[in-house]
Amino acid sequence: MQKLNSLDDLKSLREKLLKEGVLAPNKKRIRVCCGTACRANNSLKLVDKLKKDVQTSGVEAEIITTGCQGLCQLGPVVTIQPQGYFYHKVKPERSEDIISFTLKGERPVWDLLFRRSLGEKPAYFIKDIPFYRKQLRIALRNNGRIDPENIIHYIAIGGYKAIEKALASMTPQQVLDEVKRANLRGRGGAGFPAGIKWEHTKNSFSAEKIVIANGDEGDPGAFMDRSIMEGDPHSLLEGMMLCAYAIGAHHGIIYVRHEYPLAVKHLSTAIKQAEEIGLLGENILGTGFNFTIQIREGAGAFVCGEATALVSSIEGERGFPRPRPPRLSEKGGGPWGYPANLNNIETYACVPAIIEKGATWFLKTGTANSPGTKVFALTGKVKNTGLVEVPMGITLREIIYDIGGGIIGDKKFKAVQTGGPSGGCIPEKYLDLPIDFDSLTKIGSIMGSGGMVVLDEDNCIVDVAKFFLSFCQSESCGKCYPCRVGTFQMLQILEKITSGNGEEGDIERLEELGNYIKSSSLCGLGKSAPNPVLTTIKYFREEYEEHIKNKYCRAFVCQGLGQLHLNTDICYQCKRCMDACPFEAIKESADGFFYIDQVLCQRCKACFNVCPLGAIEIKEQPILYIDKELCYFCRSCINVCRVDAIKETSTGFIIDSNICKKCGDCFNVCQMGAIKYEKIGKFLKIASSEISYEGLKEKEQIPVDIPLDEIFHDVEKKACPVQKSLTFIEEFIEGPMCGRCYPCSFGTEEAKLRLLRITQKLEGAGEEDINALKTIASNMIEASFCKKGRDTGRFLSEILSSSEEEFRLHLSGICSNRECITSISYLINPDLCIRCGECLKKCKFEAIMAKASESKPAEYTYFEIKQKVCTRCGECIKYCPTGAIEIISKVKEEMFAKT
Amino acid sequence: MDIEAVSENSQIGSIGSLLNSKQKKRGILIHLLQQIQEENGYIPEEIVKKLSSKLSLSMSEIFSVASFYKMFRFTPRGKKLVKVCLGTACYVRGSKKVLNTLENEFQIKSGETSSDLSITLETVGCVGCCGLAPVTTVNDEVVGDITSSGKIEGLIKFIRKN
Repeated sequence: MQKLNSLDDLKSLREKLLKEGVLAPNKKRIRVCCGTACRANNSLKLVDKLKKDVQTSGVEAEIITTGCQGLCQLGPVVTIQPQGYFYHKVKPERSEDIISFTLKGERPVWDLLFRRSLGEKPAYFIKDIPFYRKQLRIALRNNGRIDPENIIHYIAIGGYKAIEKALASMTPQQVLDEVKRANLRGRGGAGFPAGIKWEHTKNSFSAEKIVIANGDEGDPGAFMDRSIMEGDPHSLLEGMMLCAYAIGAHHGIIYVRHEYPLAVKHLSTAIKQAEEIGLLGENILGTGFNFTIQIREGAGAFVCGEATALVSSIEGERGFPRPRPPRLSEKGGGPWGYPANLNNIETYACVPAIIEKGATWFLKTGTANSPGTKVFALTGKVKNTGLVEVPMGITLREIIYDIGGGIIGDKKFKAVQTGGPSGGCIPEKYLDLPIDFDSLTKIGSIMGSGGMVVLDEDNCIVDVAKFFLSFCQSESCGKCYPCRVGTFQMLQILEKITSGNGEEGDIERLEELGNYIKSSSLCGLGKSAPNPVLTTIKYFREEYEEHIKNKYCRAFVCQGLGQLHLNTDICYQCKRCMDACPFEAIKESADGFFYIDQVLCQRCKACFNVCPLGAIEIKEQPILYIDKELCYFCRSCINVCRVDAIKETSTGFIIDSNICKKCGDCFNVCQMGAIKYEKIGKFLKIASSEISYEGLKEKEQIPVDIPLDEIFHDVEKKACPVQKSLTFIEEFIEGPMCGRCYPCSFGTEEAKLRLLRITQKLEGAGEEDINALKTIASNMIEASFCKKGRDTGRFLSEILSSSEEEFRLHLSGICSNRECITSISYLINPDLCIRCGECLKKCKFEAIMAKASESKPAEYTYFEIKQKVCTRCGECIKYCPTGAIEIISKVKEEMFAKT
Repeated sequence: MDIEAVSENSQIGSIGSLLNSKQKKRGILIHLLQQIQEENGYIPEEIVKKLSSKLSLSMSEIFSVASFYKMFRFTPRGKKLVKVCLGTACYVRGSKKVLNTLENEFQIKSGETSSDLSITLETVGCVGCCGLAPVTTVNDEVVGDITSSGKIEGLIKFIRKN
């Protein structure tokens, strides 16, 4: 390549190229996008195939490998000249179609044209595609039009015109003033005016200055700088040259992430070509202006995107930021103490256009305070993802719905995250806000480098905040405490909330910590790290509360929250969930249906993800509680609870909701319906599906009218007054007891215990039991609410007064009616027994045995009752034909034995 | 790579004219470490020793710089370096699931190398292919859109190959 020695050389070279028809619009030309995304979709193979096929077909056409054309999702994308057809998703095997149809036949390949849906007409040209329609390209002006590895293309398209103009007709101060007048704000995030920064550096006291381009684009979800470095490296070089000319620098450094190998390759090629042609180096174009550019590769540290940390990294130190001042633009601030001007890649890429066309032209686009355009990397849950360059002041709705095509699957929009991990989440209500640097700052987010991640209803906002915070936490350099310790603590709290262990006050703790970190961190990373959490708390507080109070994640993302149910109406029992469940919580019930055992379920959602039918449903956890009005302390719930969640207190039973697994066992076992569940109404409106709690059904209301007649009927069958009263009380408790008033609910329970003591002659039973029964009876008569309670008391009182003697007799172990089984025993009278063996057959407890007596003949067997086994059920008495089985009182027997 | 023969001036480039010898030595450190890693796949201790005498920096200083940056590793890496992108766009499109599947498939955790040195599994912040999310790179080759049907099996096969 011939070296250019003067400005005229450059001018004549450009004229020569135009005359030769380099990049002339009327020539046949195929532009294949070879950005990183399209490369991943085999665009290099497509280029090879196209080159081969063009040669064999004999058509004269040029094939250009360009940088990113924007619509990354539909790659590889191809544009054809002169017609301007736009093809998407072009596979290598389609190259012959393109050549025969478009190059030879001059008509489009129909199925490669972009169409929004099958029913719609295809878009022939790039301007018809909604994704491109609203875009205005300044920084990306050459991206997708030229071959980034060919300086000739850049010159032919009008490149290096700005530096030519500056060197020929402008003083450095004029260049600076023009940039200042254009109010070009730094595209890296904070939006500091570039012109003012340049002036600072220019006025610093140092003979040598350095121009630094910050290409350490570490924000996840942002790739605009990469796209410029890969697709149009020369405009970055030209921008840096203009800056160097304006501030009087002779050295430039481009700091690039090592994750961008293609960018490094294209930049080195561009620098080499520019040096060869005489646009970089000493005495550029014979004007005496010296400038060289070098590339410094980063080594994978996010914090190195911060200016002072970047300087440390260039110097070969650990990438620690340092306090400012001195600023980078002051003496002692930049690398090795030289003042330096640091701007973002995109900022530099805008400069040539401003110098060439003038600040007035630049000020026409964008808003008053933020002129120009901004490149956004639109990603996340939108239909069309990719790079978009739009004028400032456009609304988020236009970007997401008009350019991005709306949300995938037409789901509900939830939020858009701007500015990378340091930015914030913007809710739906701000969709119509015109965006520029100031408006985004006002609502708590930042423009940042331009990442724009769209979230839909399937994304949990707490989880997303946790993700961003964990990114900042792991990238924290560890120099200052607030960032190192604070982000870790915040992450721990978020971890707690998302795993279902959130507590009241956690949100306030997060806010407090976040504000501390923001106010006291050293560098931009720490100052902005809590932003995602703080903005999501600001706009989505109810979702945080839902996680903490209801233990429910409406997006079904967080593990350990909500309650999983198996909908048996949908389930067809493929057992996939059973195989997937690591805790064996999915069981088969006796009636053949599957269900989830809530005690074993850890809410890992493995079954939820594996179910092909969506039979596993995640619902809000109900809160179970005991209605103290109804509970009469039968303890059946305590016995049935597998996790010991029901605690006994001085005022009654309570369910510890922290332990309770909401399995519903206690609900099912409680006869009184005293265990109730509550769906928290406040959030019920927000949750999409109606929450019902299977396995728990509303119990029937307790009948107010208690039929005592039936009980009286049962009682009449008994002869012993103690047995009579015991039967009455037991029946009364067993069935229709509301438990509302104490004399009745407590009294009957106590009476039952006392009566049992008396009939069974338990240890300690005595006179006081009878007295206590009397008191209970009189209390019930006096204080019971309803007639039934009073009737019961009356019955007890009557029976006590009429047969008090009988009660006392029981205390000495005698039941004169031979009904109380502990005081009696059965005996076979050998004189009456005919040894028929009927009783032996009928006894369920095998308490009767037949044994041979030694003193009697062998056929003479002897029947006997084993007293320890006998339960006095009375069955044998019924069947004995001769009435040989007699009931005797134990006490009397003992008396005989004594005498 | 012959550390002894490294020329400071050619490594630091034209900006070296502004610097003294100590600054130059320090300035090429990261660049040299990158070259060493590229050649060996990791940074062996013997080479750090040589580097230490060449650049007149103590070994601890070199390690302090190298350990700060995520890129550098001190243990050999597998033949295939698989990086699962956990950037925002990939994360919201389910790259965590991809990582779990690969972890189970190759029985190694993220950040580990299999015992036969065939594969190293890592995660990466963002590779800038958000349009194709979720993305995984295998030795710098980008595989995108993994969650669509059959792609994950293809990826595993692709990794197993050779």
